[in-house]
Amino acid sequence: MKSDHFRLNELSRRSFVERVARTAFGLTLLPFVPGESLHAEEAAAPVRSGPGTPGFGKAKAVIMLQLSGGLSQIDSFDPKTGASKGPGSAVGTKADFQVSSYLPEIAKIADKITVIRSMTAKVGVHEQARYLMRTGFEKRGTIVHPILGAWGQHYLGASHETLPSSVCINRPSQHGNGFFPATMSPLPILDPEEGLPNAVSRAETPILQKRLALLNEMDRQFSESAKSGSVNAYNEFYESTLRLMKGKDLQCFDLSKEPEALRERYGKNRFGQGCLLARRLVEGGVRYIEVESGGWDMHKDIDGGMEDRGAEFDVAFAALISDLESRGLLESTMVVVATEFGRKPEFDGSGRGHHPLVFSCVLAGGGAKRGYVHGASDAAGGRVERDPVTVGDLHATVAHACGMPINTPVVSPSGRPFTIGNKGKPVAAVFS
Amino acid sequence: MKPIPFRIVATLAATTLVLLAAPSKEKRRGNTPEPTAPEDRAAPATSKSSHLWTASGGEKLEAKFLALENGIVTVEQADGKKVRFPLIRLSDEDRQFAEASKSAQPRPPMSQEIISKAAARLDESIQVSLSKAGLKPNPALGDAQFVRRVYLDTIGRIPTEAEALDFINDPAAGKRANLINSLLNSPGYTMHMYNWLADMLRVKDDYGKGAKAFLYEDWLKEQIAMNVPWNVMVRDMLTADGKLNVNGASGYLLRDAQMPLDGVSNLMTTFLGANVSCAQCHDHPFAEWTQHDFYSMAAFFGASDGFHEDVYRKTRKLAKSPELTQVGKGVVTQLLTANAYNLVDLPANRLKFPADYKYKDAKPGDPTVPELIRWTDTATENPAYKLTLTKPSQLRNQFAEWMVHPENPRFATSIANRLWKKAFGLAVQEPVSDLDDPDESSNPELLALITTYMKQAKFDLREFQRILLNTAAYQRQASEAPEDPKSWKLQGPVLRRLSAEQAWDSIVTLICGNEADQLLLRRGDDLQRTAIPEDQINIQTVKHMAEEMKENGTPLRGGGGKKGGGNARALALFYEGGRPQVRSGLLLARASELQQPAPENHFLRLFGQSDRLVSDTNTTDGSVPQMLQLMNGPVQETITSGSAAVAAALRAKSPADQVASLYASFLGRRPTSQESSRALAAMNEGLKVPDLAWVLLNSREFLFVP
Repeated sequence: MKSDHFRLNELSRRSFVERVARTAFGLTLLPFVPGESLHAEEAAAPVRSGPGTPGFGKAKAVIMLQLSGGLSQIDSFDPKTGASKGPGSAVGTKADFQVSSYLPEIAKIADKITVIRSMTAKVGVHEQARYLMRTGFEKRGTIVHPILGAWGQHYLGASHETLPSSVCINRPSQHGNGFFPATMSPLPILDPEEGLPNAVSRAETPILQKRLALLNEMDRQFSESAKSGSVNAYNEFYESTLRLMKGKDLQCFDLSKEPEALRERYGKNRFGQGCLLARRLVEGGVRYIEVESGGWDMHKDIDGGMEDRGAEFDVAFAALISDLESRGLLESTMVVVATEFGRKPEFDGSGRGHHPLVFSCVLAGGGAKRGYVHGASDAAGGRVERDPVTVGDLHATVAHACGMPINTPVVSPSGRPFTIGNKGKPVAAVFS
Repeated sequence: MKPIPFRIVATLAATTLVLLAAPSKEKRRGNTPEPTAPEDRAAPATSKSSHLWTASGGEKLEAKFLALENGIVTVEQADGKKVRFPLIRLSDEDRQFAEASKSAQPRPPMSQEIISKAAARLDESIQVSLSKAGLKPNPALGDAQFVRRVYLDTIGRIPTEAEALDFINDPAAGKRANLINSLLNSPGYTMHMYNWLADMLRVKDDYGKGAKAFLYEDWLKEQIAMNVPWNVMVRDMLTADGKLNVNGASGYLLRDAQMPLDGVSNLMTTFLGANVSCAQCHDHPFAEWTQHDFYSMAAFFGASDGFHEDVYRKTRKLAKSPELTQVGKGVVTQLLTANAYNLVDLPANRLKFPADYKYKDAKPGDPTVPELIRWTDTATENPAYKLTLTKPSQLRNQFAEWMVHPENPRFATSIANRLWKKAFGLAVQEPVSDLDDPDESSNPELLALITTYMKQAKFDLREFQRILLNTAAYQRQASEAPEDPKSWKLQGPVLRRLSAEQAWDSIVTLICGNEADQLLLRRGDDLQRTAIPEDQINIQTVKHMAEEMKENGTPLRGGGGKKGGGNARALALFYEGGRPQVRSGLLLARASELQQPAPENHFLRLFGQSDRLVSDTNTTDGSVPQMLQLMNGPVQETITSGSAAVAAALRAKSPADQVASLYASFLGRRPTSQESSRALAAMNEGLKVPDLAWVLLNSREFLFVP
């Protein structure tokens, strides 16, 4: 058991370093803080990023596909033989690597994607792992970290006049703005079929105008007497909502504008339609879109799970990549396949347990290499064999692709400096 | 509204398929004396003879009186099944009978004098910390602010116009204490407490593949309705046996039956504020939890088994069987899956250290040895720790006994701290899920005091809240939440947005008045009929069951459905005490009496109701869809096109009275003269009463508790 002594020491050391950094070097030179990163040695110097470095700024938009619950790497992008082999088998693809037979459609577009087979993390509990994947930070009781979309809005400004800069599809908006203002939280679209419900006023315009005028006056006293951040955030939400209602871009949220054949191609399910909606939003000018797919926690019945969830994902992801490519959007749009953690090489009955030590993620477009595998797991699929990539590194990689100044820290309202992915390092090798 | 109390009478007649009787509670209780619960509270008088109850509509039900709390009567039928119904639905005679039965029970609440003394002592402690910091407390609340806040904090909704005005105009000196008492004893209290617990305990209708937790939900509501002390309730959750479709109490542990280690982590965090989730996989990076500690605690659950994969596979196979295609795959899994959730204890603790265990104090694969965690060295003298381990099948009981013991170093503190947060918006120590570092407390003396009061109240959560609501600190103007919770000196409660449930329930109140407080959802009964012994899970049984259900018109799914209110009409059949209205696709029942959680695009979820995957994740953040819902959605449509609030305003004589009526309905106060004249001017410019209602619904003041 660790002693209190040790803990206090560490904390005081940390705050000492922060203080010295602020007073002596300025924030951008903040040295490595113990306990905050996996890369003690490398993180001391700023990582290589910025204009001119490979892949920097290629991505104008990001589509983050979150497979919630823990995608089994062995039964998807990192198939194995021997004792770890899943119910599916390894099949060849259009690139020179194999995927599991559960992903036949992705096999056909494998020549357009980069698979990272050496993702690694420490957290094997859902909420914490999901938090880590969405924010690039480990969950703490003391602060809430922003998602990449909010970082993007902070560094690069709003991506559109009336549309939000971030949208999350199939999930509510918690895990959003973090320590940035609440207005940087993503707009949640809970059901892609419904798009953005209630976006049109039911009252005639003149009546609406009068109502709003009265509302502004009547509410002023309360809004001003309560100088609270949360009341102010609500005031700002009202304003941005009114801008959105008046703007001409609401049709971005309307899937009925898409041809039926294309809708079928993405799969008529929430994830598939969510991916299609994401593409529409990219075209409309939204920078960061997250699409969530639930039900990946396959403790039991991997086979059944991959047959339904896996097939939905396979079809939708392949359709999205082909669609973006055919519209000339793939080079400027980075599509990321993310999950909470991997699953164990060993079976527990018909399923597999949580396994953060090694798992797979995918990058496609936005300057990422085509038909490439980065890193490797060991023969059993239980450990990283080479080129480990942390979740923070993945965040830094995506942020780098978007052209964010990842070496410039942001100081939170509580006075603590933060950088994207907690000083994560972009994986230069994935860029062509 | 057409009152149809005692829906149970109709469905009971058809209950011929209870193939498995409820498990005997004797087994566990036999070895577990109940030192923590004084007799007068643990067991309400059950010796009463059976009584024939008559509803105001004439329906009859034969059952023993169990309790009358919060305006809800709980009775027990001969078969042991408990039924709850609103007191006001009974015939006059039976109402008196229920009141008399209650007063015969030895369950006196704490006297007002004791409550006031305790409240004063808490105020003293707060005053000391304020003085030390050189701060003044916030000004006291006016009656109008008080009435709105206390309705929201006790029964989870705003007062109606009449309720607000009755209080504001009441000249009585002790009217605040009186109102607190009467609200804590009304049905809305059960609903509000249920919402609060549901977020904390991650209450969910669906446990996967059709297994429904309706009985557990009914059980939780029963516990609150009977005001069962917290220690008794938690002990019963941790020691329950049996199937999800037989024993409601087993629903808590079965929630995590497929990931029992997460379950241990959850219960430690929820009930003890012990942040052990990191230690599940490795030593905690900065707290004092080791992975060894975690496994030693988890060992207490090492002999328990909840999810039976063999049964599950059998049901999956049956669902695919061609002979049952007529019944339908979905229906078959609905009927059978809950049978795979069955909490039993095996003769041995099977938990072993994990294959990747990397510390020196044990080897991977070593058997774990149950050992209670100790926060201090003096724990050996603590009576909570005095237990002798007997056989493995009793491990869970022994753990429960230790956990709910009044002298457990954390159990009382944890629930007291959580209830403090419920009343004040911020806990004495944040976050409530992690009390491991006492230095993080904003006021350690206050935390110790409320722990003591929790024990003195014998874990009666209602009495404990009565103390908090009677403090001067609670009855002050709100402050902005401090960025660092530790720096909070409690000048007053923190400024809060209404929770999702408070907002929804307030809207239901604006639309229907307070009628919805009397509509109780109850979906567990049909579920009990799906309990089948393992050896009878076969094609024949399924066919027979499906036929019988069809004949009886049993709606099995419990009104579930992905779309918000898509199945509102189906769900509307499940209520005791009346049938809720459905308007613009919205089922107008209280949040606690809807699907758990509500469908994803329901108002409740937009406003931050938790998805119930993780504890304590209700949020009050704003979002664009919330604004769109309030400005253009079905809620504003229903309110403006014909709600109780608008109708009341339209009955007022003058435009000024109409404005005043709307202000009382929405904000629980009278308009200022400035507000009134501005509103009247707008009416002259063409706005009507429904437009003003729209404006008030969309005001920031409506969504916040100042």
